[in-house]
Amino acid sequence: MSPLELCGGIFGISVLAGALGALLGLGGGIIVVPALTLLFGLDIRFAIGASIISVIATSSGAAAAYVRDHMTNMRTAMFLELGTTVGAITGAYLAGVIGGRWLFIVFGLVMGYSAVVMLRNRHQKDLVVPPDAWADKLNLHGEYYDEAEHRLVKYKVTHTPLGLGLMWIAGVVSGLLGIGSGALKVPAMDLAMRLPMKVSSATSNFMIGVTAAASAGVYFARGDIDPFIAAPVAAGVLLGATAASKLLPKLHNKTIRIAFVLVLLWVSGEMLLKGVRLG
Amino acid sequence: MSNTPTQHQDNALNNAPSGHYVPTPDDMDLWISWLLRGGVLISLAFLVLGTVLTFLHHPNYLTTAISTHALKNPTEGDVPTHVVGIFDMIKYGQGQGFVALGLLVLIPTPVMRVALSVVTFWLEKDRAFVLITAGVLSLLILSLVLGKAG
Repeated sequence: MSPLELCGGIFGISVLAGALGALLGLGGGIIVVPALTLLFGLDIRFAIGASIISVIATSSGAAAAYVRDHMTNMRTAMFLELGTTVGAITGAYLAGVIGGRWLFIVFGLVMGYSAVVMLRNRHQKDLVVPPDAWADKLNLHGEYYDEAEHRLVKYKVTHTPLGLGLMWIAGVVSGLLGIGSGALKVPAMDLAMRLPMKVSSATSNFMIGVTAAASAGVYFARGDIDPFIAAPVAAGVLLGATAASKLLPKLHNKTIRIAFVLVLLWVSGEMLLKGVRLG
Repeated sequence: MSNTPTQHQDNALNNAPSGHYVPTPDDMDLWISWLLRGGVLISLAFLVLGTVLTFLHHPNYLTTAISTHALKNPTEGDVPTHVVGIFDMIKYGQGQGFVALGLLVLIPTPVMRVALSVVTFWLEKDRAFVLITAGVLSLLILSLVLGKAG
């Protein structure tokens, strides 16, 4: 394989990773890391460095459209980001104290269970959610124009304190295991806070970018970000995410939900396998 | 770029009574949206320019697989780890320097968006959210500092 073919191949995979990540609120690391290591034989160190870049690119590429179309609930995102950042710092300190094996198994099971419950909820439309004083006070409720249903969807946010707690856990887990932050944030917003599926994925998409940007400096200083690899990853993911972000308003919540559930089941299986193998 | 009808109504209501221009949350969303697009385009331009330069400087990259192994396994000196190194690379016209600059533009984009939100919530006179976003920004800076120390 010539360097040109390597560059082109990584670019192609990254377009796909960016599109999927932008639609489902995931970072794209799920595709980028295995593709770089297994398909292109890269060292895991540079693959992880490239996946941090991929998370930031997914978030930044999609953000312009999601902000304009009100797909991202910025107020909810900012409030929950408090939990995630504190969690990430906690996780960094707990690394080494708590072993990885059981965490992989526990969260593999949590993700698998979330996937099943999310799939069961696929027929629900506008819900009447229990009132929440926190969401009222912080004015977290929102609305967006749904191009698939051709109507303005108004939604209420609920269980805000629980959501904040879950985001803290998501932050701790991603700090400890280095994966799964989007895969935990979307179910938390969907199942606990009852945001519409598309809003959950767009809001998660924004949040993972913020968290990744804060940790990217460390990877850069450590020399884990190789420009020759990161360039096609960043460019491909940016293009894929930008294109997909224009598609999200037109897709049905149910479609996004089912696609997310499938990916979540896969991630859950991978985590369980990792947990078993670590023993 | 089409606004929904309700957004137009909001704009009219907000701006009509007062004599001077008060930005609505929707205006701010549009500004943030354009700023993000600008950042992404600048970053993309540097990434493409740097990659094209790299292949122009090394025509053998296009056809032979001789250098692939070395590119996949860069040594310490090949990967830029600080800003000064990047500008040195650019001074010598090295493509990888431009790529690294593109990445440096891309990486802070999400944090810039948090910083911008502090300003927009301030303009909206939303005290609670000025505190929340400023808190998030401080925590992000704290985690950056802690990460470097550790």
